[in-house]
Amino acid sequence: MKGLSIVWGPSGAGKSTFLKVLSGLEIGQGSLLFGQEIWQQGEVGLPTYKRSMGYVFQDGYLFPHMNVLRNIDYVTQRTKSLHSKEQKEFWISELDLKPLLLKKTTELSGGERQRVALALALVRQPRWLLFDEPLNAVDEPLRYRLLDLIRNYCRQHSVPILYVTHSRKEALLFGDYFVQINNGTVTWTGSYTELLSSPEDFPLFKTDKFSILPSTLKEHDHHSKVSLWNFPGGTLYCPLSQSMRNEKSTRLLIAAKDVSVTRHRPEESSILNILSSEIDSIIPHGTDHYFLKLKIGTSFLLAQITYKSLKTLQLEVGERVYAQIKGVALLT
Amino acid sequence: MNSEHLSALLITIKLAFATTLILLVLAIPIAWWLAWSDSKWKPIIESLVSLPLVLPPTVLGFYFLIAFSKNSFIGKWLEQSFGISLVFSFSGLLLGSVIYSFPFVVRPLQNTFTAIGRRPMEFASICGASPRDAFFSVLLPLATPGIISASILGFAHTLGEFGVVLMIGGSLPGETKVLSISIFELVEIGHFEQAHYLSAFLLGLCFIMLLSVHLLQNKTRGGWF
Repeated sequence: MKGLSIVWGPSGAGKSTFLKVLSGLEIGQGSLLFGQEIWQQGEVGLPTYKRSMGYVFQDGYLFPHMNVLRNIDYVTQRTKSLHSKEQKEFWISELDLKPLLLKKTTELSGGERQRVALALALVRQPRWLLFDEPLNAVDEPLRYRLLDLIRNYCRQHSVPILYVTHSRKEALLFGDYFVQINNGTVTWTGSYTELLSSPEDFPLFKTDKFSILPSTLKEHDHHSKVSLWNFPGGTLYCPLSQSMRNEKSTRLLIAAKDVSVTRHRPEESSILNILSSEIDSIIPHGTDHYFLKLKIGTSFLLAQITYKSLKTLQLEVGERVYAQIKGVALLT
Repeated sequence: MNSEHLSALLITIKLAFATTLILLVLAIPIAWWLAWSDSKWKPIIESLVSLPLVLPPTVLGFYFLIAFSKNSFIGKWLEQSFGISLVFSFSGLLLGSVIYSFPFVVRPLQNTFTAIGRRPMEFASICGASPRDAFFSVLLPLATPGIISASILGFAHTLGEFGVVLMIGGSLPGETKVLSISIFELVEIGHFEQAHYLSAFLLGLCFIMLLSVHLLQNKTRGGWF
């Protein structure tokens, strides 16, 4: 397992328990292997402190009897590594903890606690990271900046991350793999590549379906107040106000409901994004709706249409249609 | 205060100190176990630990005498193998005190551990600390106010002991005669003035100790009772 795996499921589905079993805080059934290492076999398990991992609890738990700096030192002193000092300095500066170092942990706000808790998990230089909604108290722009930072660090050092979240945005923006848990069992797994090629199967989107287009910034057009994003297959316009956060690449999220199709390119439409596409498949949805899976270049886009429209336009697989996209949501 | 009373005071304090020390060593692991165990034995152990709270000291003393007298099996064995006699001796007094003050130390400790919860120890483990390491670096510092309270209560309760001491210690001056017994004897022979001095001294000492427990509780906000 590499990259960032999103653990998804309703409250009480067993997501937190899943993480606790992996960490050894709770005993599960069966065996658990980490690479070549046996972490659990039957009733016998490797104690938590010998499993090299970082774990961030939902509430960002920290030792109440030590200040922030001593909390961090508690971990570095127990890390057998030559680089622990540099790691400490690195994460203190990256997570902007300098002003907090001498504060009592009881004086921290929820978001500050979570940042310190992240530092504790990371300075240990773990081989695995378990995150239980680690950033839900951090405000949005900073949350995504930190997630991006951690993901890049972990990619560089090949540290897999297991990430429990309730936020669909977080999941779609950062997930490399997806694990759905219901009633204590894994009910579905999938990868980001599968999400791109068959968004219609993706259970994260219950009734509403979405498509994801990985995109890179082409330019900001300040004159027309739009930004242009390239995706494999074309270019999309996005309101400039949405894309002012300096991202160079992102995943664009498009709701199937916001996509309609026409046989001929409409003239003088208020809709900015009109793309030529090929119907890849037609998927029934409920009693009176259909999803058209459209192929644009190497990308796929879902359009939700009514049964009546399908009949009137006499749409068939393989035909070319124009997709009109009403809204493009930039995930970042 | 004459020399007899002074020696009674010294014995009392020596007894209270020794009892508290032994109790801490025994009570911390038992309280930790009671705080977290799901065992079916837990209610039984809890009841046994709490028994001295309600049992007349005379009952405890009576069974103690039966168990350790020179004619009993255990008493004989201790006498022959180790030359120890627990009846009418300081060591016997110490054993009786430990049993009698046990709940006064275990209960507050158990409540302290429950209030601290599992999280600190779990988190220490996640940070790479072995259980032993975590015990000293996390649990003990967090439990310190509770441990101090429990010690003071154990100490104060031992000072105030009377029934058990009377039953199993006798009243040997310089060996088992403690302050509470001195006061009893002074009242019996009508020396009220001296009884006043000693009583007032004990009253003051116990009040100060309880006051410090409650000040400590207010400071740490968590309750132990």
